[in-house]
Formats: sequence, structure tokens, C-alpha cells
Amino acid sequence: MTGHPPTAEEPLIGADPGKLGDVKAHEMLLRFAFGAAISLGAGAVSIVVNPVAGGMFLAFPAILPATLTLIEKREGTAEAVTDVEGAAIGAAALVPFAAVGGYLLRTTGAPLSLTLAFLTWLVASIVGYLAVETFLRRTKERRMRGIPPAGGLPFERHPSGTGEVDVPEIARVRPDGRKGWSQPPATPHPPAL
Amino acid sequence: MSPLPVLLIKMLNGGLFVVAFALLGETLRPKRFAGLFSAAPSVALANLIVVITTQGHRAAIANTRGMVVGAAAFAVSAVMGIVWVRRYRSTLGSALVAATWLTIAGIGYLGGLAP
Repeated sequence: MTGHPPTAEEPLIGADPGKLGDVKAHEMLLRFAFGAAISLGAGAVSIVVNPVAGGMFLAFPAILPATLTLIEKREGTAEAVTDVEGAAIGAAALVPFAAVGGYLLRTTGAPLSLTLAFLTWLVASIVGYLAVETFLRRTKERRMRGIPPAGGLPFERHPSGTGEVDVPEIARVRPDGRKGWSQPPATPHPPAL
Repeated sequence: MSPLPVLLIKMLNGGLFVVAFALLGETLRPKRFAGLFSAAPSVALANLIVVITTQGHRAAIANTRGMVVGAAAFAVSAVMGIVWVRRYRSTLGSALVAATWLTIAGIGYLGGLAP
């Protein structure tokens, strides 16, 4: 279900400001155009329909197409999928952003309301990301070490229950030809010599 | 303030905020963490600032009410987008994400937000 699988060597959170030098002007112009277009659309809907309907478009996934196509072109589809996985977490965190912002605007000044709403988004999205990333890394680590995932026996476990057969990952192929965990095969493993 | 200059300011502000968050996302790693900023509230912040300045808090509060539904629709469509981008690549996958968002947000608006 994941795009680019996380690797244990990668830090959970990191930054590489040097990558700013690789940013191309036309890529930023494209993003500017998408941002301007959705802002125009949200504003127009607010005028023509009402501000509630216009507000929905403040969470329209308008930036995603530009980002994904650029990432796919530069780094491949797997990296684009990984970006969408992050975007899904960020999008879920937009719900508390809007709820907190709307609540605080009733009682507090705009600068504080928007700042706290943004911090809510940042904290919610980072917490969500850390939970997902940690889970994916642990799952991958368990698979690498041959520990079965919750809810099923590993393919390699010997039917006699004497323990796991040490099978290199390259050989963990299910009867249908796909790699990964599966139920034990219909034909039992030959007894160990 | 008449609507046209306000729309132009929103456009300019929206574009600038999106570029700012995109540049921040470019510097972050790993890719899944950077992806958070593909759904940053860039357009929302840019527009709410203009709305509060030109129309006051009441209009901005109405915007945030709608945004709660829009954000929920975005989250659901982005989760479905994980499968679609993998299967159909970025262009068609993103188009399906947008179509899903329109469907869910439309149902949400008609189901609870419409006056």
C-alpha cells in the first residue's frame, strides 16, 4: 500500500536546504498559477453562492496535480505515490485547522487565531506522519527479520511447528508467484533433513 | 472594497503562499514528510487573511465552516489517490482525486451546509 518504502537509515524528519538550488523557475510558476486559480475560484464561489461554499474550496486539492506530475517526471511514480501518502495526512490535519480557526475567530483576534490554527495543522500533521512512518518502518523491519505480521502465520513457518525455516527474502515467493506473507501452502514443506 | 480588486489580491496572495509552502516542501525529506506540505493550508491562510481584512471575521468564520467539509473531502480523496496514482499515474490519478473531492464536498454541502 505504500509508495517508496521507508528505510531505517533515513531520518524520520530531515531537511536539505541545498535542494532549493535544484528548484526550477517554471515549476514554481506552475504552482503559483494553481494557487492563484484556486484562490480565484474560491473567491468567486463565495460571491456567487455564499462564503460557506467558497470556504470548501480553500481545501480543494488544487496544488496536488502540479506537485505530483512534477515529482513523477523528476523522480518516478513511486515517489509521487509517497507524496500523496503524506498529502493524505496533511489533508486530514486541515480539518482541525479549519475547526480551530473558526472557533478562535469568534473570540480572538485574527493574527492569533490564524497562527494557532496553523500550529494546530502543523502539530496534527507531524503527529499523524510520525505514527504512520513509525508503523511502516516497524512493519518493514519485522518482515526483514522474518517475524510474522499480526493476524497470520508466515509462509516460512514449518507445518510441524518446529520453527521458522530460514529462507532469504528473495525466496519468499507465494505459490501464485507474488512476494510477501501468505497462508501456509497447500503442499507442506518437505521435512528438514 | 469592490469584489474585483479583492479577487485579484486573493489570487496574488494565494499564488505566493503556495510557492512559499512548495519551496519549504522541496527542502524536506523523506518524501512522505515533504508530502504533508502538498496539503498545507497555503490557499486557506492566504484567502482568510484577505477575507478578514476586507470583509471581517463573520465572512471568515463562514469560510472555515465550509472548509471543515472541504478538508474532510480532501482527506478521503487523497487516501483514494494513493491507489489511483499508483494505478493510473499522476495526471489521471490527480484528476480522479479532484473528481472525488467534488463529489464528497458536494454531498457534504447539500447534506448539511446549504442554507
